[in-house]
Amino acid sequence: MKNRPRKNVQRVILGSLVAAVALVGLAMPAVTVADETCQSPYMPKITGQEDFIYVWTLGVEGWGDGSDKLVTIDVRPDSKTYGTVIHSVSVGGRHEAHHGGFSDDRRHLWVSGLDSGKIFIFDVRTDPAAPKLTKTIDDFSKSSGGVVGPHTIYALPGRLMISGLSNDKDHGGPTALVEYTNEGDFVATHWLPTDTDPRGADIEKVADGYGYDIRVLPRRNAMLTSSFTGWSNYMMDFGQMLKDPEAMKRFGQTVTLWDLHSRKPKKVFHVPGAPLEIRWALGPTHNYAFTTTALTSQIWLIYEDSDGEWKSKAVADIGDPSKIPLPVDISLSSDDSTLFVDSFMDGKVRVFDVSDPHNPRQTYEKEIGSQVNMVSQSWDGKRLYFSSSLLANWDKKGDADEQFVKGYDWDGKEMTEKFSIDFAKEKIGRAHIMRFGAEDL
Amino acid sequence: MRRSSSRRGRAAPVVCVTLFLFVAALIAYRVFSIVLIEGRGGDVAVAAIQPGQDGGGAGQPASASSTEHEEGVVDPVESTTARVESDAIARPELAIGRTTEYDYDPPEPGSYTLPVIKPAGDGPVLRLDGKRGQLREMIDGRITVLSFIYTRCADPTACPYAMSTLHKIRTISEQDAEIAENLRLVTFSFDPDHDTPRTLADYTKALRRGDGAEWQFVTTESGKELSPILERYGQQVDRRKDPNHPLGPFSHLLRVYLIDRDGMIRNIYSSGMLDPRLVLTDVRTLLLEEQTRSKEATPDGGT
Repeated sequence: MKNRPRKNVQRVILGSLVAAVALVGLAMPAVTVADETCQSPYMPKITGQEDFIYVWTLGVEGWGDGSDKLVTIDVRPDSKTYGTVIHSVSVGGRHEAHHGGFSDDRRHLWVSGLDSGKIFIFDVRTDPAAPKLTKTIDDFSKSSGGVVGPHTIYALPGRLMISGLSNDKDHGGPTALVEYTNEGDFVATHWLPTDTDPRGADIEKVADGYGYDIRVLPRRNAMLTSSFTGWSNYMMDFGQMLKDPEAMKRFGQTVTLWDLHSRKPKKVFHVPGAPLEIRWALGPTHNYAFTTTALTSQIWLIYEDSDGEWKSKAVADIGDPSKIPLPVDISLSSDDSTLFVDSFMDGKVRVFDVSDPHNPRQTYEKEIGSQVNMVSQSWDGKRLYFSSSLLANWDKKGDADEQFVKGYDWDGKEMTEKFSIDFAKEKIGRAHIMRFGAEDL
Repeated sequence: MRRSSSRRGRAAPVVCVTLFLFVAALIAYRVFSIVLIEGRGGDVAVAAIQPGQDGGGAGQPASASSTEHEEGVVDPVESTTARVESDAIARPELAIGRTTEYDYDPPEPGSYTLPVIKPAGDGPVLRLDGKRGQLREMIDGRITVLSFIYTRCADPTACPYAMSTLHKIRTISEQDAEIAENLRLVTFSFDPDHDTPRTLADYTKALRRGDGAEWQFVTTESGKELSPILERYGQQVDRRKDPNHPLGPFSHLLRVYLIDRDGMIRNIYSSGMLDPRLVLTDVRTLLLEEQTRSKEATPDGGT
């Protein structure tokens, strides 16, 4: 009886705190559960400062052991080793290291080779400063029924969805999405719709069956995939390919909208010019996504109109399209207001105000290097990181073949370089995708 | 001299209510209902209900589509869609309608397949009556929805949300005999030190009332018996550095597993896709799959 008033107080305290936490927590946009704004919404979020950047790096003959490797850069601001490579794991051999992604629990980082098809799984949880290779998947193509070139590796609950770039029949663009368990076991293959097998999708103009990126919007049960080119092109020398009219015809021109839950394609948009990276808006009422087209240098908007129909349209040019700056990676700020667009050929990042997604407006640009590919930003938008390599056979030649990772502060008006690591001088390799790590996660 | 416990007793609620009102004012554009389920002994569980739903999952009136400011942007209010009456009867979960969290119509049951993900794990457990059993016994014989929680969890997007969703599913199953007869819910606490069978029994007393799908609650006797089970399911649980963390002593990802009658995991849900309508659509998809297999196995094809 004596304890009853205290228990009542405890109940009020607990109820109030939980209610307050509930209201605060649930007030955040539904999909803001990742750092780098492009990450899967099913993953835990790095709040505040990222500690490390994991860089999946292509090996170069004569540079160190010449193998692909996962490189760890220290980005803790107060660290004595800030802005330097503190760890590296070689996987042996050159596989055309390209992209990668975390499992939903963020304990493992999966990275892949576009040529060999191997997928390397690293433990980044036991010691985030020193990732450890724990498993290698070396039968991706066989298990998947002929998918080649594992590209985007994207976390779903308990699984990973991997986009292919090609197939083992003709090494062209038709390809599929492949699901794996977090433990690295094959689950299912979902082929992209084609003109001869649309798989129930509405085809706007053409269904090439090509793949590239995957991004989801769980709130709307929607998944988007984009389209690039097949193995016969991405493993070809860039200059040789440009001179080959038949090869230049073999680029994707579609973005596909899927029912995320049933894994069924619903609509194939005609987006000519090889649409690459996709970024869904993060606002709880924003039903749209951006992509950019590599060959036609445009920003495209995939959006839901007032009648509930999903549509696509070009909304802005990137630089001078006639000069083919080759837009590659993009990053959307967490408040959906700013889109960073890298272009490989002129080495620039262009910043667009996309507060009105139908009318993007460029507000800033900066040359990062002779060539630039990937861009990753912190959740608060104050830090940006860039890497250089696109593909081993597409990177520039000679002195123009700069290989780097660079970190910048961004105050909304100006980028200020904080560190620059010369991956060529350090004989590390061709720096490609970057993923953030944290000790507190 | 007598301590002024009465003054302290009055001050604490005032402070907390003030905090609550301040936070509520910051986010006044969203509306939530929170149901306090008070168990025996003063334990309090909080079930967070998604906006646009009442506690019993009653149907929402058909409404016009939400107002849109420009293409691609919708009003931050719930948009609900009511199925025609016949659909609602066949699939009562559709009466929940769309919400701001799940703004879509679920696919038709059987219109897609659920590939086998991996075998469901087994291990020794303690039931509410304190007796030992095997997790396998809880899964056998029915399609199972298994969730891992702990009662001290105060993360509204995790355990309370899972409990609320399973409660919703059970409530819906009271209207659907096929679901009630073929589905079992299993809630597994990974906090055996605190969530003893007695504690779980008290915590879940109100939840176990009524008809509908069977709902089992289990834990383990020790952390030693718990770890292998969590590993088999890939359910990672970490002890926070601060044992008094406001969200609870453990951090974990919300994971709920759909397991077929053969003991195979067929789907995994987490925050962002733990939509009771989707879970029940998946259950119905598995039931249709079983019916198809059964017909195909019959020599005359079922005719």
